[in-house]
Amino acid sequence: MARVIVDDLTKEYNSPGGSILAVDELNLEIDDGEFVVFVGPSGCGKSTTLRCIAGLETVTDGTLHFGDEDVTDQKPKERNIAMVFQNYALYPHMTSRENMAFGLKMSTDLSKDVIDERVEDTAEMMGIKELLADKPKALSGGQQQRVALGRAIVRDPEVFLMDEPLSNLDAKLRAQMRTELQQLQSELDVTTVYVTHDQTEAMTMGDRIVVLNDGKLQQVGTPLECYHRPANRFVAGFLGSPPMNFLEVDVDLESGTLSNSAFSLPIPESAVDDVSGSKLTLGIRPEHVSLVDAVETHAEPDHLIETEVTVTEPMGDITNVYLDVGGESLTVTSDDRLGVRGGDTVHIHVPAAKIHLFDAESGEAIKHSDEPIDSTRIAEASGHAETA
Amino acid sequence: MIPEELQLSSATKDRLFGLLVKGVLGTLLLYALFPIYWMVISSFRTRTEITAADPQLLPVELGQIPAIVQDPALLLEILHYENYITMWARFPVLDYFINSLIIATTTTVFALVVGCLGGYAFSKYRFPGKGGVGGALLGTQMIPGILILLPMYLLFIWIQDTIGFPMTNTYHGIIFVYTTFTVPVAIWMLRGFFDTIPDSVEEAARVDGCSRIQALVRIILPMAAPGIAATGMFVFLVAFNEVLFASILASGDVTPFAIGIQSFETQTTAYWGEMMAASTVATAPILLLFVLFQKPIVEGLTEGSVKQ
Repeated sequence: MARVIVDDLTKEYNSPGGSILAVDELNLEIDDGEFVVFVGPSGCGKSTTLRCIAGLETVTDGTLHFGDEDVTDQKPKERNIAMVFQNYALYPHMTSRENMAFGLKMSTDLSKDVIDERVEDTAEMMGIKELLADKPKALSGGQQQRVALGRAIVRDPEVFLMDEPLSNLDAKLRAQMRTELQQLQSELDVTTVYVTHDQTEAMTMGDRIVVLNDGKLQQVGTPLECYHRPANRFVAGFLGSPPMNFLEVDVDLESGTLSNSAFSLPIPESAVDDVSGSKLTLGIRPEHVSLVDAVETHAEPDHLIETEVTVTEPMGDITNVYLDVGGESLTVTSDDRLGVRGGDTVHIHVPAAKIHLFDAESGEAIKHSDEPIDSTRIAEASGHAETA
Repeated sequence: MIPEELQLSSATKDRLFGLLVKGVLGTLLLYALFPIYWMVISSFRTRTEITAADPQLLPVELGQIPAIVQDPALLLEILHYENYITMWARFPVLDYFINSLIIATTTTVFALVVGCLGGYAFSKYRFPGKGGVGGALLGTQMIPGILILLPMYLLFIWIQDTIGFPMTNTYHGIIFVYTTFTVPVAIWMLRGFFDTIPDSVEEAARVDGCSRIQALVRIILPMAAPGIAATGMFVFLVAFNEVLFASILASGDVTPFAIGIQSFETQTTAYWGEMMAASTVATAPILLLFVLFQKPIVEGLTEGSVKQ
């Protein structure tokens, strides 16, 4: 097990059209035994960073340490890592047993008997003992996935690296493997770096998530921190489904309001001192906006906005209601007690406490919602109080 | 316009098209197989039968068939199998054949070794001049062999005269020539097969403790085995069947079968029957090899075309 320290990691690719900056001065410390998820859109540099940690890509600038050891220039085989690939990358000409034993055979001096024993033990833990004699072609996608995980686990590596390991599975199996992987990781207590573009995986699996965009680090934090205290507009918009609503507003410090053509809301008290400039982006999560029927008796009447429903999307338990606010679209997730339809005029409540404010130009967060982030509870659940 | 009741239904159209396809393929097949058939039946004929003005299409007369079915031993009387016995004594056929095997096998080994390494590099590495070198390799295939023959001959003579190292009429000389023009094809064919192997498999091997060469030998090459078999077979056949260069650069002790077979046609007589018998014998092992490896080779030939 090892801490992974990424220091000013930069990776540039040379291409005929000039160099492409894939990772830009990334700094990160991953604690021993921690489960960290890299998340971001395609081409954000998350896989490149993982491949640099694996040693499959050379580093243009910066250093990588596993514990106290500088591994920046080490070959993959010297790093004692195990990796799970998106397409599993099993060796098709070898049986599951040979696939799992291959790493131990190549990287250790263990005797054949010891290797066999370890493969059997791991296979039993993964529930694939009866598949050991089969070649990958004979296995289903889920079974291949297990063999690929088994191949990584049997190595007992310092660091697990996983590159979108669940994205080739169907939805049901993916949900099942997600919880299984979490359990496995906390049992094995091996430092794990997990790359995904799926925000559900990011939110549910990691002790901490690392949000990347355009090769730059956007935020590192517990899932709830990133969700409720996004460092900037990108993080706010990337995490959550449906995504956070953003409305461009003008600031009027004299009257103390945030307004656009469709509404005017008072500047939240907690943010009055931090607000400057004339334009801001107001962010509000769909689940924090509510449809209001009793307008007259509402507790925060100056936080109500009159809007028109454009489309409703019944999801079963909730309904996504799309509204038109001054030409901009706003989404509300509602339990649909009101039974609104497209074309209806409704009032919505945008509670001051849940409003996020972002600088209109830089996108940096100015004010967050006051939603509690119970980080100790999250950390306890995953067994790493020190990472909170 | 054709009246509706006279128009073909789509099922009939499909059937007609199927017949057309089968007809065309059948004709092509006949065209390809007839010379081989003629070779085999000629090998069982006497000189008079072969040179007859009205050669029989079948090795036996139709009227003889019921008798042959009853007593297959009759075949030995009708067919002139003596060609297969006398040919060995007339010319060193076995030597020719062994020469061909040595030349073709060694060429195949060299072409596959260089082709695997080169094809792998072209498939998985980025290096300056990749496009240019790749194009040049392909370009060598556009030059007709006859244009290279004379320079190659002069080169051989020059090497012999200046260094004193024998080149003409040696195994290594002709193997060198064959290797030079099969390596580019081997590289291009194998490159296609390596392209179908996902990079992540090699990366998994490297993470599992392999060096790049180990990953190539232990993981990539076994995965590319069908492609290597197909390429190997192709190279082997090219080297085995080549006539032009062999006729100038490989005679004497190293005469390969393709050249040696011509000695059955002397200035005074042509021993057609024995020549055909020798050809039939020479075809057999290659045919056997192909039948044995048919499945991986056919898989290999089609595998490179589709990205999985």
